[in-house]
Amino acid sequence: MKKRSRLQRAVRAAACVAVWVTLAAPPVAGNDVASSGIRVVGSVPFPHPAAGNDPTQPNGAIVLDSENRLGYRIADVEGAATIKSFNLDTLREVASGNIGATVARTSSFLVSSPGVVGGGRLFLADSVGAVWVLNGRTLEVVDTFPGPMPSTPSADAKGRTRTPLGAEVVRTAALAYVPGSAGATGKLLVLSEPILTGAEVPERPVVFGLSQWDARSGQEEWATRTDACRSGRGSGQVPLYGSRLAISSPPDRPGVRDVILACLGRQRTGEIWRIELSPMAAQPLASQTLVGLVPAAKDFYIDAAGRRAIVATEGGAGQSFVGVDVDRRGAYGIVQASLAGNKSSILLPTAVSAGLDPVTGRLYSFAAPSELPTEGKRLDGGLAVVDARRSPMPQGLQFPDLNPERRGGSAAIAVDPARGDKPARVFVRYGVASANSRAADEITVIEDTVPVQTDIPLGAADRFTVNVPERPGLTRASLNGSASAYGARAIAVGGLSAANDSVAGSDGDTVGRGFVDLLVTNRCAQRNREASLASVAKETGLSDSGMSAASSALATDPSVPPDAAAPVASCQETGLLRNGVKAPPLHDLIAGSIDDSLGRSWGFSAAVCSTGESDEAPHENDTLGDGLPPPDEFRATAECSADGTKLRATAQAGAARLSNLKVQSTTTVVDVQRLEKGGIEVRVQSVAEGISAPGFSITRVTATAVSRAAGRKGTASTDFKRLWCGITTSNTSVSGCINPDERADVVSALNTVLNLRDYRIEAPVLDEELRAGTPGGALAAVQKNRFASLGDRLFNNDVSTAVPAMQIIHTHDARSGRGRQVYQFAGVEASTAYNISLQLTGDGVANREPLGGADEGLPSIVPSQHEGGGAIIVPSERDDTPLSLGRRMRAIVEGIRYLLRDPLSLLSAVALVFTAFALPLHFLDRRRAVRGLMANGEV
Amino acid sequence: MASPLRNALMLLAITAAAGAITAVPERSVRMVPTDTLGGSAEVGDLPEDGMPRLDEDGHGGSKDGTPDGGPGKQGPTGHRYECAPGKNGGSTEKGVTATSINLASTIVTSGPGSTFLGQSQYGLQAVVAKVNAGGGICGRSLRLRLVNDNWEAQRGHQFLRNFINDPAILALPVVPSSEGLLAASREIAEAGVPVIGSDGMLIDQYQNRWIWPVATATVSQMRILAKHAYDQGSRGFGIVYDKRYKFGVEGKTAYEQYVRSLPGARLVHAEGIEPGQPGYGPEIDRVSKACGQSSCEAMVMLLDPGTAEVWVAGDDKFSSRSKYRLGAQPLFNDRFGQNCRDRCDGMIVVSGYVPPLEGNSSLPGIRTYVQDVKAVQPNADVTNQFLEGAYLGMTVFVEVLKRVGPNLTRAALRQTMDSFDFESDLSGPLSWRPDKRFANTRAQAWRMRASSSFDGFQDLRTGWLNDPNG
Repeated sequence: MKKRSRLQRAVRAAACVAVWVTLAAPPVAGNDVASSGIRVVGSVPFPHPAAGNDPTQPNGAIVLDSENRLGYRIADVEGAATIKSFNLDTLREVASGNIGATVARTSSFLVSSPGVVGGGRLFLADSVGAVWVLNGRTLEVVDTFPGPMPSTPSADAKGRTRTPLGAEVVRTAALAYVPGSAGATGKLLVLSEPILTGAEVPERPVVFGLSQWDARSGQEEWATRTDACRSGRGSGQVPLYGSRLAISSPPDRPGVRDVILACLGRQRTGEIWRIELSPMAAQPLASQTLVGLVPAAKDFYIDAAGRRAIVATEGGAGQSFVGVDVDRRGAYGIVQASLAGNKSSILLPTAVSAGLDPVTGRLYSFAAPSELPTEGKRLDGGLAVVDARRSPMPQGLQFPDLNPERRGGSAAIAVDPARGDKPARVFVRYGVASANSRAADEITVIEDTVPVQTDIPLGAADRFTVNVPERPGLTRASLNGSASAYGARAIAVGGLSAANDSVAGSDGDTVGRGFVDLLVTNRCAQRNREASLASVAKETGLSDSGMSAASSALATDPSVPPDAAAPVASCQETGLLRNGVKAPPLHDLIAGSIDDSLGRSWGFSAAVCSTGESDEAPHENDTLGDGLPPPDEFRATAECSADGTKLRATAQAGAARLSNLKVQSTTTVVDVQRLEKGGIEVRVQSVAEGISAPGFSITRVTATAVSRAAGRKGTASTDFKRLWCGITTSNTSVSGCINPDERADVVSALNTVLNLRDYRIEAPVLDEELRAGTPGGALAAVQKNRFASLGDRLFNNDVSTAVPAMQIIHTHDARSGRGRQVYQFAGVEASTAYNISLQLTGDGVANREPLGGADEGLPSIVPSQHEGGGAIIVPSERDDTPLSLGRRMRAIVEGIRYLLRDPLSLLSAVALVFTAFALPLHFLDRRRAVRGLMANGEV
Repeated sequence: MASPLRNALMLLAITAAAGAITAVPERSVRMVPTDTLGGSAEVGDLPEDGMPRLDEDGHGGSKDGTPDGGPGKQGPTGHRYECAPGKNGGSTEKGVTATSINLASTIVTSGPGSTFLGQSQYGLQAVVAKVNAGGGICGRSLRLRLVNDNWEAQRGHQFLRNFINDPAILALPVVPSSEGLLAASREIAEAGVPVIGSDGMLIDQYQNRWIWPVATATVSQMRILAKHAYDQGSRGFGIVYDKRYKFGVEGKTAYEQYVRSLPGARLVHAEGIEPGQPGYGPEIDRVSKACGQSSCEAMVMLLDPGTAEVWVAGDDKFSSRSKYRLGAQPLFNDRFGQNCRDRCDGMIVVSGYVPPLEGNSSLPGIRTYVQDVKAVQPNADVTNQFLEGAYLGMTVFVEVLKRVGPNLTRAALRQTMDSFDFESDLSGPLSWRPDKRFANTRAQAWRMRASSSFDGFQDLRTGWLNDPNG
């Protein structure tokens, strides 16, 4: 008994160990912000210059070489730059060196001259364009590459020449290092820019040049002009502003080299370009694409791996960061860093510094607290952490406690990305707390363990549907079809006063706008405005739960009706000439048969319906005042069928003036219906006719969108077509109709003409993922690109997701605020979702009555935990076809493979085999033994 | 066979058994997300504590990987029903058949309420689609009928009365249109029709024994807002509220009462306004006059977003009048932010849910919510807190249906709801009892950020703020 007891205990212990081992799961990566955070872990000394320069100026920049675990701090002292390196892990000094030139563009290094590491070297462009080459470890100067100066076309002592790219004095604006492959030496990409100051000069072209040098020898391999920032008006105050350059490969074309280039264009509008490099030196640029325009830009940070650019801006609202998605071609978010401006080349407490983690794309910024008491605004300041690859860009986490002395930012922040289990380190040099104080004499090293957040992808959109034919009583459908549309739409960003063109000032402001704002502080003139003609509201749709529709001949933003009802009282002119200037409320917005200068009230109610209802507008009591009904041409209808299978919404509008443009008539028709054969279809058609503006006219613009889904494979699809007909400009004419998606040349030619008037005409992009429809047939839609539309919201106040056939933007951004007039014609949106589910019976549907062919089994629903930029993930389907011999063998092999998936499983599998085969033998043996004992009379 | 060999075999056998047993749950956990909320093919016992919880992927079901809903429930005729197709007892209650559970609700897709309630329908539709895709609940699929009542009490009352009297309707999930719900409250109680997962806009929802809200009540939000401002140093309080709709009046009363209970605090001014007007010039003048010289340090806006937009557009001093501008959950709304823009920069809004923003986006339940809703409407504004609340309310309703199991009756729903606890990533833990309807009494504070455009909501990192009146 004693022996057995010990055995039992041993067995139990072994079993417990086995169970514990088996149950022990690897720790799950935590994502709890509360258990992580930001903390200061050390510092790197950064003493002020002993003499010479103004001691209040920090004169320092930080450059990191994470691969070689070295950091560099660079300071300008009396016409020279000193460089000290430190170990990125120990933070101890390694070496020091200097060059005989200054490298800072601004004395505060807020916008630093280019410094880049690569191939074990540190490349620093000095203030006159030459590039100094230092050994990264010893900091000895090993070479000085001549800069791209047109004044020095002759070869230097080493026979190196530079191709002149323009007549202006130029400098090295940005550098990027391209590692060599297969034994080849690395390359330096060099962006050169003209040195312009003061007012914009329209007749003087601006040339941003791009060239490639051998990073070892400094020999130029090619040089060419780019299309970037050639608006011909310069940026003014050039030393304050930065340019950037980075090299990147598109995720879907790994062999391609793209240059992401950021520079300042007209009136400080930041331009982001994607330039594809060609392997041919004779034609080094394969294509050039403008991917983003950001007003009031100041500097740029490029996330090459994330294919994004972060634009630092400074306008009337303070300092902000705007994200631009290079591949989706649009802005996707904005984060305000400070309410204060900082238009100075010396370091002030209002300075904001920033930097990017090159691996995660996380944006760090540092600022002092800021406040606008009269407007009730306040920002806490400190270190801000923003996951800048998310769309929309989140507002991030603020750590004001890291800035107890309320200092501003200083040199650009540098980030050492996380490596293995070592978290990312952020190198921040704190700026000044007051105008006369000193910046910090050290670089603060901050460790960041806040988990990086990613976007929630669209997910497996087909996971709610089963690929079987619909049968009454056996299947059910969940469906949703929705639409929105407009014939014409105008958005006046900055109000009507911003529509005045003007002579550009030296500071990117416009004389006309400032003049208007000064003289007439007219709320009606300054309010953002929006009006849509012949529109169908976004809530229009049909589902298995019900339906509703709403359409209007004229819909506006909420402030228009009160202004129209009581223009004088509502507008309250308070400017210098308030007694002499009358309010221009609706008169400037809508003209023709509507004349609200008479002070009529608003009278364009919507036609609405729910299931079984119909409605027509104008309604009986609608009036423009004094019992006057709205004009006959302005009508809307909504019909929702009683059986819940279809709805129709229509709207039409007569002649109207949309600020600077006129449109003769607009019509929109929306049909949503359940299809007899199963599925749902949404049809949207919109037409705008007789569009005219100073300098050009268009006879007709149409858009048609059809979206359908039936919940089965291949049934989700869309049709989309837009046409521009009868285009006439002051010097060109296009007869007939064109599809702008197929005639980029015509669109480009039109823009060449319209650019002279600051108009830009375009055919906005669709969301191609939704347009294609999901393979399983659950979802399809025609709508604006989900990501690019964020930029429309941010800069154009355009929240609609309907995609217009044509969009014309008149840009007058200024330092005092955005001024944009956005005109859209024939906007359509159609969305369908259709999911088939089974109604199980006791026998099981599939067994009792087969629903279809062999490929129509139930889907295996895959958990939607996939990451990635909004890709639609299609679940695999379970195959219920009879098993062939080969498939049976494969199944057996798969089963064995499953059992042997890891050592513990192998142990389990072996033990199971023994359990199955050896235990019976054991018990047989035991029974025999017991029988023997019984036979012998021992028991 | 030699003894050591036998012992070794035994040890191996037990080890193998342990490994084999524990391998099964590993597979189940991985498969749990593939089973949607209403897994009907499997039957399992309730967890020991009887509480359904979301698993790691935010899905329902008990922690052991089996769906809730006990097997073999006994029906009124003495038959034992099973949570399986064809064995569920068929028509166990009005609106219940062998293959379907018929539901109805009123929604708001037009009128002033549509600016914040308009998207709630997608939350209901997403859960219904998900449940039906998973085979329904005990073999019954969900059939949901939604009707727009324009947030009009009379219209909503009529619709709900029709549903209550309809023998083909079992229950009224969520009912986003609060005005009609209030009007029909007495009939709901008399008829015993369950309303589960409502938005808590009105206090009546917490006093009706047939209504179980998931939201933090408007009155709780008002007290939370007042306490937050008081804790930040505010002593002078103001409010602009909706005097037509009940939520405004109730919220204002709760705010006023609570402010009066705070030492040193006083309600400087309360301005009740008629919603949906084209302008509020005289009302704004009254507020400016009463709150002159910064006496209203904290100003709460208890309005629907459309009305608030018009107010803000006409109120030049909106940004500067008060140190703290505060908004209840209806203003936690992307559309309101886009229309309000820089005048709302810094405004604090609260929500009783966990918005899918910032770090919350990594929570499995939040990701599931966003993906489910986008699967039925890719354009849905998932930050709309009433949409999230509708999704949560419908999810709670489905969990209760699963818990009740095959013998589905209104009485069983009520009995289950009266002892129901629910945990998810979408809110704090929720718990209902017969004498406790305030399942959610907390809120998080977020700050609206706007420069020249609306930039988004910023987490104030306050964590959950409790209703001071508990």
